[in-house]
Amino acid sequence: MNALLVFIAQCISATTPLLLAALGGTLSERAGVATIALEGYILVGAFAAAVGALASGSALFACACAIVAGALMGALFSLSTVTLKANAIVAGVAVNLFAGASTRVALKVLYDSASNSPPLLTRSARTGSIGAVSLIESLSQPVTWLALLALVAVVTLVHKSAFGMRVEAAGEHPDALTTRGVSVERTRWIALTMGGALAGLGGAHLSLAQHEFVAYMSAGRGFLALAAVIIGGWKPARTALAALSIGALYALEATLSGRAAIPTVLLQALPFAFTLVAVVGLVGRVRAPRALG
Amino acid sequence: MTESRLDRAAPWLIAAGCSLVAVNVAIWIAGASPWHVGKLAFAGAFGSAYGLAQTLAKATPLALTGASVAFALRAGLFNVGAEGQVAAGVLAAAVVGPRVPQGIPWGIGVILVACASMAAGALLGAIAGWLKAARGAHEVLSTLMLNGLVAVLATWLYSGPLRFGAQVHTAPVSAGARIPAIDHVLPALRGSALSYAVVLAAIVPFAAKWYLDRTRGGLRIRALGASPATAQSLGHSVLATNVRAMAMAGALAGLVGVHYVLGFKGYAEDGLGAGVGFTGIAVAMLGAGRPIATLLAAVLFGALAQGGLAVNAVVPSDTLLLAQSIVLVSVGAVVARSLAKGAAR
Repeated sequence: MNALLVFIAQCISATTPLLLAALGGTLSERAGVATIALEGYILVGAFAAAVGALASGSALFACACAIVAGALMGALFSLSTVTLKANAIVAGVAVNLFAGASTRVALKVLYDSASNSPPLLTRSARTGSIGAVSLIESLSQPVTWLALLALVAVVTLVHKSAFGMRVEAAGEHPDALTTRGVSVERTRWIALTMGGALAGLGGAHLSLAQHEFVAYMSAGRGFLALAAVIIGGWKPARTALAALSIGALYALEATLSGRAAIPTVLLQALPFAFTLVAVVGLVGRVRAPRALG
Repeated sequence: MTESRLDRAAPWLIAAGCSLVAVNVAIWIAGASPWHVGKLAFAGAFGSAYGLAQTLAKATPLALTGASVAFALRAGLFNVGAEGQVAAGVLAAAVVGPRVPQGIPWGIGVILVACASMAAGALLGAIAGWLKAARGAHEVLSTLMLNGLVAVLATWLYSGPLRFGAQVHTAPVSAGARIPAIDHVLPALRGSALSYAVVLAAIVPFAAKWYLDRTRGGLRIRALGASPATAQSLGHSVLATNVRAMAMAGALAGLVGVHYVLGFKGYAEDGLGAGVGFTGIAVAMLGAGRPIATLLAAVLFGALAQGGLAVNAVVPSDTLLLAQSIVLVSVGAVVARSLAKGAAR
């Protein structure tokens, strides 16, 4: 029972950043821009949240900082891909390199450390069974609830709103959008900036749940989130399911590692292996936005 | 179609301008004098024989990954997997290096290990190439996942099965497979990481270009880069060419294992070579398929890394590494288009 509760708690905790980043990725990929920059968004969001939390002591203010920082990274990505027409993969790698280097510089300048921030938002340990404690810990993270809210918002935005249709047109038939008098560039800017904000918020969960920022703590989650977008066929609800599956594999690792007879390396490799197989297996059955590049 | 000198220089000028501004702002925010830091960094990277040797040692893997990324681009493939291919090459050298029999002639041992490193990188590349051509999985995503897989596997192997006794590194490679450090001839370089592997790195971009421009296999790769339809109309197998292009690109990245394991360290450890795959993308962008430009770009990024260490007491060393990303952002726009033209040629 305890193990099950711990597993559920870990699922929630691991899925939250993946889900938010994947929702951000859905928006910007639907607008027609390949977004490996998710990795960098997460990292910068995690750092901004740590700074916000340390400065204010408030988790919500930390979330706001992460959203703003993520949106700024999204704007930077828009500037290079949409306005300057850089290749989206090159620009994405650039954003990721920038995120890694700039957070390390800021860590050193603000906290005089090369690897991690001071502990943030710590509180006295809860008492009770380990299963209940970890579940309450997971459910008390504001980002988790914001992620659910974001899921509903993105599903509505994508499928029900006029803006969602413009985003889809920007990704499918940009010329048609231009003909209708709507600026493709402007639509992409907004979608990419929103995508950055969502992924940045996802990053906030990493540092808030771990009670510190660690250099390069995104550790490939942005890439997995991108994979979730593809597995989900660029549809937000299915993408959320894909993110949950990958999150469950992380949770499996966190719950079983060191305990079962299964070598830890296999558990750690699971998210990447599963994702690779899923993407390969699904190709042909999902369709990418036509103008994606 | 010929490009003017200005066309060729434009990416470099734009990159230099933007990164100078950005890095200076970062230094200024960090509370130091840009001029002072700049002098320190330059002196650290080029001001002494030792610094210059360190710069070249840091440029060595970048020239190889830069050549790898540029090679795949000629086939129209984006090798974001150099990072994992480097890790695989290092891993292979760590496994094969210590097993080279004592007393084997020196050159043979090095070649054996180099082949193992290239094979490991090539295997990863080939998987991505096959997934792309046979299954339609985009190479960017599959190589990113392969990077993650190799990183997990390597960390585990270095912490357990490959660990050398109580050391945090793998067993030392046999004497017959070590590449000597250059400080044997030039005492002024004592302690630097520069080994004769640098010669390899200097040759590879030229060899890659020769292969692409002058051989039948290279023609197939360029035809695929122009368009899969072109490749098919010339009677080439798109599947085979995808696999070959990615395998060869992976082999070039895998060669980095030779630099670290046979040259620099003599063994492998976790984290060795982390980042050089992604930086190789920046090198390839500035190099734009030209060997000399590729080598210059590798030296530039090597100097930024070494210069960063020299200024670490004043500002964080990563401040100079920020330049990498700025270079990519600013050059991406200019070069991505000229590369697309290059692929179509």
